[in-house]
Amino acid sequence: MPKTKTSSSVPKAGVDTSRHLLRLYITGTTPGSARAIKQVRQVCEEHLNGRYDLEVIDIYQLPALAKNDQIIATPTLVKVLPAPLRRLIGDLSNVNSVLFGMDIREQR
Amino acid sequence: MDDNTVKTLRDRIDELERELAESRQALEAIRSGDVESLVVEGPAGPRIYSLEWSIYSFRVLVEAISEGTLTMGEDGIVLYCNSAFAKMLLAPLERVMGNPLRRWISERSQPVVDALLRRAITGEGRIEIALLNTGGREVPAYLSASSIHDNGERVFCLVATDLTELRPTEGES
Repeated sequence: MPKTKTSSSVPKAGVDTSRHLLRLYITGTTPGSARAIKQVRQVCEEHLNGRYDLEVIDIYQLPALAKNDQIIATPTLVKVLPAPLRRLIGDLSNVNSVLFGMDIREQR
Repeated sequence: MDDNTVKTLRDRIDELERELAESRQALEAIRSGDVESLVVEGPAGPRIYSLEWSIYSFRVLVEAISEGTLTMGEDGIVLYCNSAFAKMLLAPLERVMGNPLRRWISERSQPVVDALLRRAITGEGRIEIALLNTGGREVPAYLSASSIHDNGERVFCLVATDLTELRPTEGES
């Protein structure tokens, strides 16, 4: 598995399509931001078997990136890869909602 | 209608239903108070309306400072870092946040960092370590740590000072 990591959102030819690219939009150091990171990582670790890349975007520091994925609120979780793009806004504590919202099926 | 047309239409309906569900979910999340901020497009770029109480001046201070600052959960995942820290690692900010800090610490510095974190549970501490940047090159740095309790969970607060300019020849051969 190549370890190359880029922040490009455009899938390139030859990219491992079974690998999920998730983007979590948060706001700084708020309790909700920390909670969202933990919840997303927990779901990914349990259900994606390490086959994922997570980008966490603090929209205070990177506001321009919020525009790309048409973010209207935080926290928002976006599944960039594999297509199609999916969004889940707000509470990420319900594992089943996250799995359904991100089209994640068990990968074992 | 032939089978292909029916299938195409069914797929389109499925996709539209998904999109509708997504929009409803977004509105419901906003209405029920599950979101922390709203992002509104303005002529000068996006404006962020925070719905949570926050200390604006502290946030600006942390973002602007030349030291690398970060918070980390007990599981070693970076919950927040400023752009100065990402710059020390030559990494995109979004790839540092939400991921393990360990990846950015040289192997020989791991034990001292672990010891620093243990010490930070009861007090504070500062050590000299070698960070590891995206290119695999070591970056000498001071690392200070303290810890707080945030909503019942321990959060480590770390400050990294880049020593590269003070030791320009160290680590080069």
